[in-house]
Amino acid sequence: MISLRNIEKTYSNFNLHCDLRVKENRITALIGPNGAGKSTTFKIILGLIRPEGGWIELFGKRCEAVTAQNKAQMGVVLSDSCFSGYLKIKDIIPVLAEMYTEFNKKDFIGKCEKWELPFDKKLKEFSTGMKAKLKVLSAMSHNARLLILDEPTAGLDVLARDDILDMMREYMIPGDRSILISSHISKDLEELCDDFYLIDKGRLMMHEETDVLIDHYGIIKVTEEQYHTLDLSYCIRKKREPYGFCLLTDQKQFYQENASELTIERCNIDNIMYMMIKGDTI
Amino acid sequence: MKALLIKDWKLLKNQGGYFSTVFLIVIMIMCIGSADTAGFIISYMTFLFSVFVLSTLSYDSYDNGMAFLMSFPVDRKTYIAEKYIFAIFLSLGSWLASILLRLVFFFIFQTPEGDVTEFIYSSPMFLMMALIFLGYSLPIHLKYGSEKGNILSFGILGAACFGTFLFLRITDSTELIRLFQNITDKDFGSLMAGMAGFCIIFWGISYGISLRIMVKKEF
Repeated sequence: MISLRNIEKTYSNFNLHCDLRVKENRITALIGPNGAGKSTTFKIILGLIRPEGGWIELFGKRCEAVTAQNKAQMGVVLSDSCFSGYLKIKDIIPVLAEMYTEFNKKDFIGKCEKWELPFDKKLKEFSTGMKAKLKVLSAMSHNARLLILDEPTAGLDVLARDDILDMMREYMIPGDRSILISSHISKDLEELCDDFYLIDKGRLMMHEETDVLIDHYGIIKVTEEQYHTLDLSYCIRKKREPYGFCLLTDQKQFYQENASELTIERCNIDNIMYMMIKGDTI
Repeated sequence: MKALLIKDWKLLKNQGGYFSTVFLIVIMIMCIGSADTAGFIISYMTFLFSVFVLSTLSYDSYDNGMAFLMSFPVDRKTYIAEKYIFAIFLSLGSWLASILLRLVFFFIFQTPEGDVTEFIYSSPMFLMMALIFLGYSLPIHLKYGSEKGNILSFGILGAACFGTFLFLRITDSTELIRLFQNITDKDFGSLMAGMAGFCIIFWGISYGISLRIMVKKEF
């Protein structure tokens, strides 16, 4: 669905170099700290900013050949932008209906009512949560094949977040769709995504399948003494801690079998992001 | 394109209060004014409605909204074309409405026929002025945004008015006015065709510049 190869984008104090693929019937997450380059990557995919180098493909077409019909197959949420604040939901409905031939007006209105979004209030008067809900609803309102969601759950309460995650799971049922998503709420991503890309300071640090991450990655906590005697061949990052070292391994089974006295914790996205970015290579 | 036109129309409707005020002021001036105020009324109404196109650019950019708008199945060329079409629609619509309104008031107040004819002859000039203002303001607003754009657009307008005033003070304005009246009397059709041709060329250049600005823009 999406393919980015050797994408380069340079700003005065930031350089992005990115390779990324989103396959059909997959939910792919792009994670990283603030300023890592996630939103820049999203904007490059959408043609909102132009990279200086590299190759972009959408739906198997070079980005220059992407037509309005192709774009109509995409649903987009951008973290820092929405419809004009001077419009109301009742104004947006005919715009979306005209923009997308497959716009499901009845469903859109129903979901707006369910989430108690006011139809007759200017969007600039909406709360952050209300805007987030509206953005997700409009992205998912027209039977898109590809969703590009930059921080779709930011500003939402737990209940609304769960509703949106359920909507995404339901959205994937037909089997020919894909989602590229970024979120600061790692728990959401762990439950939802098939694979992850981790970027930091514009550089791709890691790409891994969720199953592999859960089954093979682990956090090992060792004392200074244990650290010096341990076989570190399968550890990829280390971080000095008051008690000794915290290690990230991508082969936790090896340590479970060969160093059973060690404490090996299950990994989550936050641990991995922390260790990959803050930790040192071994 | 149609979706963008609907969006701008909705934005216009949401500013109903502003336009109702404009309309009320126009009605008040017509009630108390003489035939001499006709030109002012047309230019005032045409200008204020036309300027709304520039406001839609600012509303589109509100809260970084242009990025979101460009993620829709809309390309940059369509966006620019829509703005120019909307600008023509607004300028022409408000110009025609103000003429009709003024004619109704002429009829009510039994204005002499000579004044009405002069009014009809001079009215295209006000549409042309609004179109020229939009023609240079649209690329300026696209390039510099609404804040700087407004300063530049109205700065140019002010400078042009001041320049014309100075020119008329320095030169013999009565001679110029007589020359203009001669052209109007003898060949009004050619004058209109010349003005229309100038506007088309001016807008063509303006559209090309706006398109280039938009294509280069990053959101």
